[in-house]
Amino acid sequence: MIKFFNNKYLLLISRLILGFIFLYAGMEKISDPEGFARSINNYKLLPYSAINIIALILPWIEVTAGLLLLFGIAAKENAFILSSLLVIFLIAIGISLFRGLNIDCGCFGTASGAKVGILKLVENILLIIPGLHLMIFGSGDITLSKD
Amino acid sequence: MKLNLNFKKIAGILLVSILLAFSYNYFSPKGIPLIAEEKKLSWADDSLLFSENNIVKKDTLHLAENNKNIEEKTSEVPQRKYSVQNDFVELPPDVYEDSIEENSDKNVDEKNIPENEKQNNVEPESTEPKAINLEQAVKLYEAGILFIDAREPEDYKNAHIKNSINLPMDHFDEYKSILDTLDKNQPIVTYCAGTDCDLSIVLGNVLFDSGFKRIFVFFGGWNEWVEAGLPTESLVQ
Repeated sequence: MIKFFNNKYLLLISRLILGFIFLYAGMEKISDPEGFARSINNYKLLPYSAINIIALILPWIEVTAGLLLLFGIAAKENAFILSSLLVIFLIAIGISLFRGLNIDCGCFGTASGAKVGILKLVENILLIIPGLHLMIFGSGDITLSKD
Repeated sequence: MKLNLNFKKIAGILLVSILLAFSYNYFSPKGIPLIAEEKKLSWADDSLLFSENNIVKKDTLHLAENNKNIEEKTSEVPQRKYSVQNDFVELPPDVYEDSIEENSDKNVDEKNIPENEKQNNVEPESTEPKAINLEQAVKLYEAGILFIDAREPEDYKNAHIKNSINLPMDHFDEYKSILDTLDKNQPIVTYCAGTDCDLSIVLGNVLFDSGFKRIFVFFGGWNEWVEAGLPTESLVQ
C-alpha cells in the first residue's frame, strides 16, 4: 500500500492538481484584490481592519506555494501550507453554513461566483487528500529539487 | 510516517509571499490600502425620503425613457419591460392606487412647470449614500425609483425585485456602460442579497463617487423583500 502511494507518478498527479488549482485561485484573487476583500468581509469572521491585509497576502501564499509545488520544490512544506489553508477555508465555510449565510465563497476570487455550501465543503475535503499525500510522501522523483 | 517538516522553509515561503504581496500591491494600479476604512452608512431620515419622493415623481418622467435605453444596451435581458406606469398595476392596491393618481397628476402637471421652477424645488443633494429599511424601500419603489441589483447575473436572472436592473458589483467594468443611460439627478436604490452582503453598499459608494448624488442602500435587500411578499420577477422561463 505504501509503495502504491509512494509512486512517483501518483505524487506528480497530486502536485499538479493541488499546484494548478491554488495557482489559478491565487492569480484570480490577485487580479481583483478589492473584490476578494469584499468576499472575505462577507464571511463576517475577521475585524474589518484586517481584511485588506489578508486579501493581499493570502493569494500570494497560494501562488507561491502552488508554483513551488508544481516544480516539486519543498513539496512537503508547501503541501502543509496549502492543506492548512484548506482547513481554514473549511472552518470558514462551515461556520457560514451554520450561520445560514448566503454569500459568494470567494474561493477563486470573484471569477466563479460560487456560493458557500456543502459542495464547497466537499471540494475542500477532497483537496486535502492530495495535500496529505504530499505531506507524507514528499514530491517523488519527478522534481526540480530533492526534499 | 513522520512528516519531517522543515518549519524554517515554511517560514521562508510565507515571508517571501508577504514581501511579494506588499511589493505587488504597492506598484499595482489595483492596489488597495493595507488597513481598510469602514464606511458606516447612516440611515435615511423619513423627511429626506418624502422630499426625495417629490423629486422622484419628476424623475419618473425620464425613467421609462432611461430604462428603454438600458433595455437596448443590456442584450441579455431583452424580454424585460420597464414601463413604470404599467408596473404600478401589480403593486398592493391600497397603496398603489394613490400613487398612480398622484403620479399621473404630477406627470401631467410637471410637463407644464417651467424648467427654472423645477430646479427651485429640488432638494439639496445627499452628502453620502443613505441606508433605508424595508418600509422606506417600499415607498421609494411605489414612487417608481430605479432599483439596481448588485448581485451576480445568475442570481438576478433567477429572480429579482420587479423592474430592477442588474449591475453586478463583481463585474462592474463589464456592466458600467449602463450608467451612461441614467440621469445623475435621479434617485437610485441599490440592493443585494441582504444583510449578509455588502455589495449594495459598495455599489452605492461607487455610484455616489461617479456623480449620482441620490443613492439609497436598501439594507435588508433581496431576502427581506421576498419575505415581505413584495413584487418580484424572474428571467428564467
